[in-house]
Amino acid sequence: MKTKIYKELILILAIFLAGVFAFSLLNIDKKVSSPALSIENEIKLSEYIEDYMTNQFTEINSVYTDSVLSVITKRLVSTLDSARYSYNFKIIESDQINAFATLGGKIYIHSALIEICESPEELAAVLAHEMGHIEKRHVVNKIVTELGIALITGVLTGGDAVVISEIMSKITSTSFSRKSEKEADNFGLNTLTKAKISKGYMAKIFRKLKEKSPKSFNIELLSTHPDLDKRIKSVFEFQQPENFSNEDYDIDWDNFKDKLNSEI
Amino acid sequence: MIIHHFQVMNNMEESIYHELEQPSEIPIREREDAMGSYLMMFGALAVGLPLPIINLLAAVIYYALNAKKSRFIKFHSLQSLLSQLPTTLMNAGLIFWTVYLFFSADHLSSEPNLENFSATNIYWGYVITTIIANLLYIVFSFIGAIKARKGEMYYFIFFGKLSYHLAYKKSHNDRVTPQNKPPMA
Repeated sequence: MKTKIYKELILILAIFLAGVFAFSLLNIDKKVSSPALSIENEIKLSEYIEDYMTNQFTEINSVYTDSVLSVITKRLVSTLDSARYSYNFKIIESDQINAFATLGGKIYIHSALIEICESPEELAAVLAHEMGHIEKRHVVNKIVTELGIALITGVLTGGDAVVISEIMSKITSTSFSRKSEKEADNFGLNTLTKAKISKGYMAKIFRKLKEKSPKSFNIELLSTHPDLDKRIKSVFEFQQPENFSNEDYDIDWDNFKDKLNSEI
Repeated sequence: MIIHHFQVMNNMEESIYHELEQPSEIPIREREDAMGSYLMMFGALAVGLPLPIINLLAAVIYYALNAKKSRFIKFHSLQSLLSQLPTTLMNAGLIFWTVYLFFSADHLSSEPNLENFSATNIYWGYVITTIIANLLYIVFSFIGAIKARKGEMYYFIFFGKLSYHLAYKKSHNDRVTPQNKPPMA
């Protein structure tokens, strides 16, 4: 009798383990985490919200600032294997230290973030991270998960102002999971390596954010990008190739910041 | 010789367990008490406390209060209690794993953010298996309740044999070889 009892116990345990393994093969996580919105529709959606974004923020436009930004971003974008997006970087007037990625390859940089960057390489590190969010489709995934694909496609056919407003609210309240942040960090580090920018600049900007008062409400970037100690550690653990050599930008950074401040 | 040996072995095995009661020998009250042990799982729901641990506590209390009434009741209440343990553990594991996954995102945003919930395929496999286990438990509990009400023995896989062993096995005192035997033995 006891032998039969033990045999049936082993059978139950085996059925349980087989069940967990079998159902894990359904690959539900990939289905859940893959955005249901195509890149084409994402770009189309970004055009719908473009006007709303323009109205919400004061964009800083000058030939000089645009040309300097272009030098920085061109090196980053050129590292991409295939250009799925037409990247567009914009500087907006804000005293909040932040940068955020939106839909369709658009990245907004708050002027206060540029102010704390001591070099263009530090800004490049932040932008490379934000490009990671776009390339890994974190932004569109977040919006589809939280608002639902039906609502999003409704915008594409009708341009519902309320839904667009809600999409903008989701985009600007950038709070990604630790997994997404790690993916964006890794993408950023790989991009910096290809662009011949040292990973130290990413660690530097993270440290700078951490050193600023954590309770300051100006540190929007800090509140939405937690756990900086671990991320700084990860940056140092990232291996850039042995033959890697850093090539700084040939930009008069102080002059750029002065010109930027004069535009504000 | 061999047949005689097996007969002797069977007799020995049977002698360590009490004889099973037949349905006609089991009073209605006993059948209802045995049926109640399976329906205790709904007791917690009825009082608005659908927590796995409450169900388990209810089953333990029911067993403690009723097991001594008869072996038939003891068997069914033991089977109900023991079969509840795996689903309780699985449900508790699921709750802890889900909470861990949600809070491991470590975000500081005050907005509820489903995107922060990041799971693996193994997690989803565990979720589906747990749901199926709970459904099976409910179905078999109903079957067990019906069988108990009919005065029948019904054996769940593993738990049935274990409960029978625990409820019907003779104690040492019960297994004393009788000295007086009939003249035909």
